[in-house]
Amino acid sequence: MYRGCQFLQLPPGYFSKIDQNQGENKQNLNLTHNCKRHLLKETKNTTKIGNQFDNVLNQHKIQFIEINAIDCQFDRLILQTHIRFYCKSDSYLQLGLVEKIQGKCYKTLFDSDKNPKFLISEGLFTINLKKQEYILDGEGIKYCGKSEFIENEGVFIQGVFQEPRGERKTASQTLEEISVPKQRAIIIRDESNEIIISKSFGYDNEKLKVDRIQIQYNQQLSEQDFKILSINSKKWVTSSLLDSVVEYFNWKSEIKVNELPLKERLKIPRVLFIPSNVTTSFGEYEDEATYRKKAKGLLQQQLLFYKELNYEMKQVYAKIGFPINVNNAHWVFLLFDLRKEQILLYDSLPSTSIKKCKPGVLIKAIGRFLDLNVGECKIVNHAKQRDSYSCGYFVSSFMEFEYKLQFKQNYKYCYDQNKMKTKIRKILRKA
Amino acid sequence: MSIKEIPIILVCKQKEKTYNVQVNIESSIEDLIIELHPLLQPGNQQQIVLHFGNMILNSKKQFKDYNIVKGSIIDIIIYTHGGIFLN
Repeated sequence: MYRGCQFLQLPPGYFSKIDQNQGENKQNLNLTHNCKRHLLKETKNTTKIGNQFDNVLNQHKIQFIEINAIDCQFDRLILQTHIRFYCKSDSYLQLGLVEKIQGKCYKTLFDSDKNPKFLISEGLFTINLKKQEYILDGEGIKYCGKSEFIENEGVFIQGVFQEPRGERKTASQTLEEISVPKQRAIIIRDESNEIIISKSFGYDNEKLKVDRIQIQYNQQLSEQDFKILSINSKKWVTSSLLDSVVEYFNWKSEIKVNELPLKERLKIPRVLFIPSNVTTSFGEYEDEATYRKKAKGLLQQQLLFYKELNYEMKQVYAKIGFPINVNNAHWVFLLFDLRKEQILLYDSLPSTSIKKCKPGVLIKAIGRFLDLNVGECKIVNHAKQRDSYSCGYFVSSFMEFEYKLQFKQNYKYCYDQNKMKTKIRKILRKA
Repeated sequence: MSIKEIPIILVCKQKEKTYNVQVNIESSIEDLIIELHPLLQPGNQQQIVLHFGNMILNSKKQFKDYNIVKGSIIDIIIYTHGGIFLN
């Protein structure tokens, strides 16, 4: 399946723990990939191994899902804190203290400002389920960030890519492309390759520079954003603030759910929030097919961690929520309840009096992606804004409400604008 | 001093725009964002940010601080805002 190395060379002492267990004193181990396959074949009674792996998962009280998708190469999805690990249960191999399995790992790490770093890798892993460690150790692929672009492909030892001999770049080769002594410049071309901007910097656009920024929750926040949150401010809420709230609730949910004992965890109707920039990027409506295709592409990119589940989100989440920006003037919150097969539109506008509406193109596009075919959309309008700026805080409070409903199913909605502002300030300060 | 330039692709899905850009890896992200303002005209209240592999690029950093290579695709995101629907 993988290009590159057919030959897996492991360093001396690599299997030292196994060696000790087995009373062997090997100094060097050379295993060909075929040998390893053969080893697997020999021990393989696939169902038995699959069951063995399930037993291991149950023993460690690890939440997992059986995947039944026809064209998926994996049959188990392990859900742990900020980890989605797909694997082939019949490839599970226990060699003394070392456990190995074929899989694909989606992992998100967060820095102190809660900015994510996405790690996606696929291949043969050494795993430690209890410690939530999934380390590429054999043939595999490491992808660039949250994408399907390959960064490295070949052999990894303890997560470190082994560059094939002779392909290591020398310092001079790394500067091979365009290496010219000149000042900093940017050339922008349009799709037909016509130069539309060619510029060396004189900085005549100083006013467009933002003085002080913070990067938190994968958002760029300026001083202006923080001023919006002051108690007396009547400024509109920006997508950077609202999407910080989205990322915060997703981050916190993931931690809180995984802190629960397995039995309770399985009962949680989990909710996932999608940042507003995803639906904003759907852009203008031209025709249904184009719009739907674009929406699908963007949602697939956002939910890449569930590609192997064929984006069947209801296997993991009960609800998917979207803060939606309407014409750069208003915020609403759209909730897809995948279990109850309902679409709820939380709108704080006082003029909204109807209780139901026909789904528009955006709702239809998301509904189709989520495999939810609902003819109508229920409007939730019990909380109404009395001013001309607070819809963003209402949307934040709707999200908080849905977040809390996961853990307390009789939780009652209440809205307090100042509390919401304080909460958002606190979220951002915490990061 | 030798300075490396690389071609990258910028995509603004919201506005259906794609640009082929040649940047110097020692340029700041902000340098490029400033150049994008007249092209995308996001309006006074809106900011442009760049995402690479779903991760935001800090505008105060340089391209070389990220794993951006020849042909990398970078998403342009225009921040929005809202208070009440005025229509």
